[in-house]
Amino acid sequence: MLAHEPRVLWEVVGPLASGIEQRLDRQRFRNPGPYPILLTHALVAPVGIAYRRGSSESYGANAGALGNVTLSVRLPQRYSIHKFFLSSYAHTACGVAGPKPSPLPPAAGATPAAGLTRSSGIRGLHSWLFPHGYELDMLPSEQITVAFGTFARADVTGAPPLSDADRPILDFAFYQRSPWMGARSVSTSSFPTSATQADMRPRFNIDTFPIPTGPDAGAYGLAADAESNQDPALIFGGQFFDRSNDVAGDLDDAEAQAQRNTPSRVTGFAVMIDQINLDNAGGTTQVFMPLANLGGISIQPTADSQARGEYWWEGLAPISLVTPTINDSALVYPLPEPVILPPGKALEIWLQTEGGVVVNDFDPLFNVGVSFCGFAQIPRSPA
Amino acid sequence: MTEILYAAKVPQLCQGYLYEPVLLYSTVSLPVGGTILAFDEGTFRNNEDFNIHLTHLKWAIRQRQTGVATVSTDERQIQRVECRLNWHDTYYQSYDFMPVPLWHTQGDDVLPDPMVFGQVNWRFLRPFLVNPEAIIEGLVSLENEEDESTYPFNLALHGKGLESGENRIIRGTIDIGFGSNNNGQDADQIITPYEDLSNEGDEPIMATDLVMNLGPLATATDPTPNYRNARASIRCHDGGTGFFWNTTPGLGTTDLPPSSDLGACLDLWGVNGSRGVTHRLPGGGWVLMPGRGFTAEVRNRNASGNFALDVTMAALGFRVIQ
Repeated sequence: MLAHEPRVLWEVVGPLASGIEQRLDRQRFRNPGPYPILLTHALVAPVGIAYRRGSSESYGANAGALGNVTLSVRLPQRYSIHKFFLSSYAHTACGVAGPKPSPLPPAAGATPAAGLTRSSGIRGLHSWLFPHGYELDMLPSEQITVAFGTFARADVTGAPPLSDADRPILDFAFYQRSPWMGARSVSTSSFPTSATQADMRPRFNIDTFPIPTGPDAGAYGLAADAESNQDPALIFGGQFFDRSNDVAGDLDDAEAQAQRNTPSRVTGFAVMIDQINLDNAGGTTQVFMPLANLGGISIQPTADSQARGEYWWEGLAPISLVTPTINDSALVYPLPEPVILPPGKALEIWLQTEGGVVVNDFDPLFNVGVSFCGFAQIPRSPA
Repeated sequence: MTEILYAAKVPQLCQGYLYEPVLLYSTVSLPVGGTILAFDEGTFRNNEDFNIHLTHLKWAIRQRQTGVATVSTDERQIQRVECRLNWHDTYYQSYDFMPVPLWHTQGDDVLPDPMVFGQVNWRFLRPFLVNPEAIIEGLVSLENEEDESTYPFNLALHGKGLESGENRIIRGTIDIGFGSNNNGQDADQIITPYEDLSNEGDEPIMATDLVMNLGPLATATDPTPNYRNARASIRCHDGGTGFFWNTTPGLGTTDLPPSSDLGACLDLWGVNGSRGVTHRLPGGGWVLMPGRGFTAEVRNRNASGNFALDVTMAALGFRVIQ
């Protein structure tokens, strides 16, 4: 009998110039645990490209540059090399991943709806819905800790012309399947925008999301300590997995207690970032990336006797790299056949940048995040 | 009904039942400030004699006529709408109101960039049998145009011939606009019947896909259309129940124009291709017996400002006719 836990192997590299071939850090794509990992998706995102000054077309100079990235992957214990040819960013994201309402702003003039010219997306949603058989059973006594952070960019300075009202709002949800009605439940946590509740404030705020005032230098590099910023974590557990409040009718004590003691089956998670005000604040010349390409997330359930307690991935991975099901801002490549990564084995990945589209005299630079998502297969004795 | 006989011929497909698409929908005008409003009572209740099998829920911000300063038609404002349902005395998905985008669990619903502003698709989970000589009646209206322009509107049902297995398409195109075909309806809306949507072959068609497309303004240099202006109603004559596939109880809590029930916003039809939010009900979906249903409540996250929202919601599935 196998239990499954999500796992993501990821890395961010850049900025890279055109015509570069770079081997990614093999240790970042090594299976560090004692259990095999079944990899199901590869994701590529323009991480850290948060902002471009200029017309909306210049946005594509960076985000669209992903279309000129080629990944070559050597799987362990195999002799062939798999190449992922990533064509157009928009086309590939749409054709392969599907869920891409409108992450790229339409070209100037194509304004069927107010505000969409500078929009980072319609739904602001990123999610990973676990396939049937890969859900997590969570007891009410167990907890899952979710932490958010952002990639600080030491090379970017300047006064942010943002007000509190422009701060994005972040919602997080675990989807659950309630056993008594066979339905799916969810609970959310929102980061308030009030400055008085700073301890719950995401770091997508004016302190850590500066808008550069200097000349636009293209893609921004990531600081060496990019992952050091971390907000106080959200802890989901106890009341979160207690579904007795969802019953509108009266429950007696025994029924309520029975509901609380019933394990929840976590079927996935989702992050929604409402950055409408931020997008609008950009005015007519500033275009923001979806912040999911900038903000990091970390998830760790508490340990129990079933050998859990491990982080689902190392560090604070960009949100767009850990959400293969619904993703507005990354390329999602479902592997034609799942790949089993045995303990201690690693993927070897080369990343090559070719050509690049020069738009409005911006040289193409590449700031690329790569991830492989899947599930650790953990032997579990029957209860 | 002869379709039952046809359905009986393909038990591996229909198990002897006839399935007809259904879309229960309504709109609520949601003020700022966190007021909780429910959709009209009866919106999501089965008021028919047949079982209704629901498979999806849809939400969108309705783009009604311009000129209401306090109402936002920005479709991104769907991120500021929260919702919860009450189904069999149990809150779904939870007691807590949840932002509507977090309900979005349908992952294959986005069309390519060139089409995403003009087209909606619905792939039926159960095929709908269209009899020979049956006529599909499509009613289309615009609610946001006050000029003399016309827009091409396309409607198509895709499927296969029941006997031959060949691909079959029933399609029609019509130009709609405020300045033409005004049948005396409310000044902001026109309603235009399709007359050439029929199965002209000699075998039934198992329709599996519905596609609706609003083209760009005929005289515009920008070819990007906006289907959010359009609404549609569909039913099948000489086949199925003859009821409109989309049903709404009426106005209720909305303050929309009197003819607002002329059709469902195109966003609501787009289960497999739209810009709205699509929730796939878990498992096999929900079966509404006659007289049964659920309630839906929504809340606006905007605390102040000109961000009143017209939220439109639908529950989609199919009638099960034995």
